[in-house]
Amino acid sequence: MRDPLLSIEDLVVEFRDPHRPGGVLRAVDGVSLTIAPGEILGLVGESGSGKTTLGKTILRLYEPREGRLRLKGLDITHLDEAGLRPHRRAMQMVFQDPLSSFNPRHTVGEALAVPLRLHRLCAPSDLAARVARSLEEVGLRPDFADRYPHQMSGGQLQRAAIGRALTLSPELIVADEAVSKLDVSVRAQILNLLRAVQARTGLAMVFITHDLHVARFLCHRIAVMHFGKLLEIGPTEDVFQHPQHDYTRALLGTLHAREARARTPS
Amino acid sequence: MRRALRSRTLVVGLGLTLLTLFGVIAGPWITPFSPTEMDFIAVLTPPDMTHWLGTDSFGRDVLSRVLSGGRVSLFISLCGVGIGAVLGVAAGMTAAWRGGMFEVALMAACDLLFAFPSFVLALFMMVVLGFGLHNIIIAVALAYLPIFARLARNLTRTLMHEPFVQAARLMGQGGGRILLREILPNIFPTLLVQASVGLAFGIVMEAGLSFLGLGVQPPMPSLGVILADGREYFTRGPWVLTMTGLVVSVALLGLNLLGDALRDLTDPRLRQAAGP
Amino acid sequence: MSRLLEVRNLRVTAGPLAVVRGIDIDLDEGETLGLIGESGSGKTVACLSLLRLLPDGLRTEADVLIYKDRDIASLPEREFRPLRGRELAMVFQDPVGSFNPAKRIGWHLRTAIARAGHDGPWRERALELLDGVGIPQPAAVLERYPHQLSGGMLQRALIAMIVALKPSLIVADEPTTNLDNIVEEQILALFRDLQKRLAAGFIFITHDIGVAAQIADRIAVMYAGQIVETGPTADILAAPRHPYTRGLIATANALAARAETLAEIPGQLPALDALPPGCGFAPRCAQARPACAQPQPMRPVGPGHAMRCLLDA
Repeated sequence: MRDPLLSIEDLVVEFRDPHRPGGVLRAVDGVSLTIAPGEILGLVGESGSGKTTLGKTILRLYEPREGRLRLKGLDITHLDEAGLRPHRRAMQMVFQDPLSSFNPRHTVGEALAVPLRLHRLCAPSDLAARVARSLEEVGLRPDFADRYPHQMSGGQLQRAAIGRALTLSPELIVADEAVSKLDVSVRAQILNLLRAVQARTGLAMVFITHDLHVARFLCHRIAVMHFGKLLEIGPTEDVFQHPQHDYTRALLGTLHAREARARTPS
Repeated sequence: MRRALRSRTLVVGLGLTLLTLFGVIAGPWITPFSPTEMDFIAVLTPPDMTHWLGTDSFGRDVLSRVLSGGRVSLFISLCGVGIGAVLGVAAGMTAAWRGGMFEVALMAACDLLFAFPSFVLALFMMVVLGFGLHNIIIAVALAYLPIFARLARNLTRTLMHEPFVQAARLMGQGGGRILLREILPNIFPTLLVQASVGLAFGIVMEAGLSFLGLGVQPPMPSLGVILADGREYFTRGPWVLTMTGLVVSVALLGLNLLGDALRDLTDPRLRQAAGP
Repeated sequence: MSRLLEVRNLRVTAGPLAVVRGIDIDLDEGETLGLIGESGSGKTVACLSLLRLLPDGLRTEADVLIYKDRDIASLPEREFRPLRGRELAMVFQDPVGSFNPAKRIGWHLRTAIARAGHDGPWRERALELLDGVGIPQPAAVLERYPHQLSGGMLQRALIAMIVALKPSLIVADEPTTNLDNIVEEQILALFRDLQKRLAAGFIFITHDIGVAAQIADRIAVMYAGQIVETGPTADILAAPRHPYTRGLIATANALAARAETLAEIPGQLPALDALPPGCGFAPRCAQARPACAQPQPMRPVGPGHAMRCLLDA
């Protein structure tokens, strides 16, 4: 096996419990896993399972309480914001709600230009052309650069969000329920786009979802989370056909029950 | 219906505020009288066609004094609220972003200051700092600093975990840049509303302090000074106090209505309800 | 079975914007209609208008609006209000909004039981109702406040209240959308149980064709304020006719079949202020032709199966 792109060792993330003064909630409870370059890892589980917290802690948007995070062998667990900045480029995120992942006061073009300018990836004179190219890569017309987020549909914004994540040529993208807030008829477009982007660039992806169909379509490996713990992890078809854990079986059971009933309506 | 009402609030508030501003700025050209020139022939004349708001016990034209005093009061309020807002917003946003001891300490200090009514706080400042124009500005600024600090801190906290701010962090933007570029533009409307209401209370605060003789010192006119003068011979010339009070009320009404209208306009929930 | 609801040419407008553009609904007692559509298709607004729950500024008009042989369009609000809740019930996506946050679950059930005209002690009836919807430790739950229950539990408690009231028409607006897979299954099972126990008509609103497939006898697919296809669930799933329905089902099937790429419907939903003059789906449709610029009527394509499209005409 190739050296992992990212390795997570015994990660623990805790939050203050809003209902109990002094109490803590363990959102992620001793999770270890590795992500290989170029693979799509599906993180599945129900709400409150800690999958989003894990995804955001990987990106160091949350601070781990215990454990280690290694990016290409380098320990990034306790790097401060300044020390982290050079490594931020390697890891990007696509959020669940495309509207709130853009600043309502900036145009989409500005949002895409910021990372380019910040990391001096292109000369100021080429900025507009580069932004236009980024938009075209994700299937948007260049004139969308002048639009504000509220002037675009959810699907268009999610395309722009993927385009923004790609401007820094990351090696890992964490996609948090990236299609669940989109209209049904638009979801397939975004799933196809994510798959095409991954195939073209060879980046690795952590795809967080509660939708088992979507996970099965997109992911090479599946990790099942429940109450902050990693229950099982394995190649997608292994997990779907030979689930090891009772909870995984229950989760998959809902899928099978649905398919069976959909075939024989009452 | 609600929209019409709201826009009427905006129109009236903006109108009164602009009228006030026009009055205090163009004051010297509106009335032919000097605010400080005494005329002992026309002592305590009731309002008439020459002196629209009458004259005071030294024969000075009340309208000229109110407009000129309004300028001083507004200047004090503007400077005080402005300084308080800039420092308070900077402190509040930084506290929210950095968290930890800095935030705890700042919020504890704000709570301490909140324990006193703003006016009592300002009163205390004047006693410590002494009288005078500069000190009254400092007192108003200090009274407003905790209000803006807490508001900015709370607003920043609600926004700092929004996906677009997290996206900015992932892009490698530093804290200062994120606060200025990503967060400030989004909380600015709310701060502006607070500032417009604050401006009104700043005027009241100045008037109160000067009325008690702690603020602006005569002969320089300010609304507080004029009110204090008027109180002394209220029975012989009630128009000095009442007319000045009326003008102050109109100005405050305008600023408050403007603040309300601005708040409604910037409230996304109301904006949504007004949509289709 | 007798006809419960008959709606002809229901229109809802917000100023100059048409949100619902003339839909027909027929519902028998004991029948479940799955109303499928995406956000902005008008499915929720249409149902809210039936219950007169629309916010100010939205106007409802209909040629025919008959509930149990009564014309309810002309009913004054005073006479309509007793119908709502007692006969016409609504389950919302977010159950929290259906509860008074300051009152315990017990108070809500007691109110519902009293409204249903139940004599005798309410408590036993309440416990029985909660037990009937699979709430464990019902006695303890009676003492809880709404915010102390999970979304799934609240949705169950709401269903218990509906069971108490025994309404004749139940509109459920995406009642499982915010729930996890396992809980969603359980709530859907509850609804199926409810269908058996009450002789009511159901309108089940969802964006998920898979959910509709499990619960509906008939399906109506909405797009841009119109019903574009309606028919028996089995027919629609097995042989969808309208290009939009076909697209939705093709995507769902491709996902389930783990295809290499998903069949996708290109483009975006049209904005309300920029609806195409004829067929609303034409700009996204691969089979669009010039005649699609004309408004399309519903055309029968099979027994009980109709669509708003020129294809195969």
